Amino acid sequence: MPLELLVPMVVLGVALTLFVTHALGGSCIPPVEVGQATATFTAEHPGLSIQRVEIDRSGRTAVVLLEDGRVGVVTRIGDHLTVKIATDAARVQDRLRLRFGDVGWPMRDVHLGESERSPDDAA
Amino acid sequence: MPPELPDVVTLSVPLFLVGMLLELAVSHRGRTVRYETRDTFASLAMGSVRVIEGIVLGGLATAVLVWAHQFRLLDIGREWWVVVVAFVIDDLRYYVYHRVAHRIRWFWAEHVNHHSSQHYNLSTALRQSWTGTLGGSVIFKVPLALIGFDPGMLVFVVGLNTVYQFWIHTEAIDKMPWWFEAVFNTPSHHRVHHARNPRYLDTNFAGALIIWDRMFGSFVPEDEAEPCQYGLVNNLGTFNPVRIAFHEWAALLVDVVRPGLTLGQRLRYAFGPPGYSHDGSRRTADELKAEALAAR
Repeated sequence: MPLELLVPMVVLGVALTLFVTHALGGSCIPPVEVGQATATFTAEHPGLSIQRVEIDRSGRTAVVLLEDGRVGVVTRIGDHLTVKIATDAARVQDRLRLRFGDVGWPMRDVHLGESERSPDDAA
Repeated sequence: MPPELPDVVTLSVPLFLVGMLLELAVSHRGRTVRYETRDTFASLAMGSVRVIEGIVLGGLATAVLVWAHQFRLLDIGREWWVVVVAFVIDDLRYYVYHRVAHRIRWFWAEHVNHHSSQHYNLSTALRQSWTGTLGGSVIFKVPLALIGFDPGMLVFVVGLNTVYQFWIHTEAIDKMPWWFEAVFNTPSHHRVHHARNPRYLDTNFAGALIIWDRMFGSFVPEDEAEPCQYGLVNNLGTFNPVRIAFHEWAALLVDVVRPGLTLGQRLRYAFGPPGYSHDGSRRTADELKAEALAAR
C-alpha cells in the first residue's frame, strides 16, 4: 500500500476511533470511593492492615494509610484502579508527595483536605 | 523469480479500523466491552509508531534473515503448500519467542508494553512494541531461514500471524465452537494470557494455534469463576506512549547498574525472569503463583 494512502488512512482512522470512543463516554472517569479503594487495596495486598483511607481533592485517588506506617494509593488510571505503595512520603506545602521507586510511575502529588491527618505522622 | 508476496499487515489496516469501530458499536449496545479514550489513544499511538519502526528498521531484520538464508539446508520455493507449512512452523517459532519474552526480562522489556493496558479490546492488539528489532527478537526467525524458508516468505507468514492475532483481543466474543477452541487461539484463550490473576500468569503463549500450549503444558482454560483482570502485575500509572514503550528498558538499566551487585546478579536482572530481585523485594510469576496456591 502506498504511503500516500496509508498515512491519511491511519490518521483519519485513529482520529475517528478516538472521536467515537469519546462520544460514547470513553472519557468519563468515575471518582474513587473509600469502600471501593479499601476493597481494591486489600485484594492486592491481603497481608497489610489499613489504618485509614482518604480521598484526595480530585476524587480520583485514595490515599491508604497503613498500620505499619507506609502509605499506599488506589488511583484511577482511566476507568480502572491501580494500586501502589510509596517508598517515601513527604508533605510539600498543601500536597502529599509520594515516591514509588518505579520508573513507570516515579512520583505522585496528592492534595488532601486541610483537616486531614498529617502525612508525616503516617510516613 | 518467485512471486511477490503482499504486506498483509499494511493491507489489513482498514480491517483493524473497521473492527475497532464495530467493537465500539457492540460496546455501546451491550456494555460487554469498554473503551477508554486515553487508553485507546495510547494503544493506537503505539501501533502507529510500530508501523514507522517497521519501515525504518524492518530492513535490518530482513537483512539478518537474508544473510542467514545463504547457509540454508534446503531450497524451499513459494508453492501454496509451502505457505501452509511455513505458517505452522512460524507459529511454533512465535510460541517459543513469546514464551521466552515472558520468561527473560530482556525480551519482556520490549513485549511488556503489549500487556500494559488494563483494558482488553481490539485496540489492545495494536499496542505493539517499538523495540523488537533493536532488542534482537529476529534471532528467533533465523532457524527458519537456515532451514530454507526465504526471507520474503517469512515476512509474509509473520504478517499473517500478526493479522490473525488482531481479532482475539476482544471480550465481545465469549467462546468459539469446541473444535475451534481445541485447535486455534481464540479470544477466550488469549484473555487468559492477558490476565494478571496469579493462576493465569505466563500461560497461553500461542499465536494462531493453541496446540503448542496444549503440547508444552502452558495451556490454562478461562474459568468463569475467576474473571480475567487485565494488565501487569504492577500496573503502569500512565498513558504516555513513550513511557509505556521504554519504562521496562529504563528499569532494567537502573537495576543492572545498581551499585554493590555481583556480576551474576546483574546478569539475572537483565536475563533472569521478570520480577527477579537480588534482595527478594519483588516477585516473579512463579513465586506469585506459588503464593496464590498456598493461600487457597
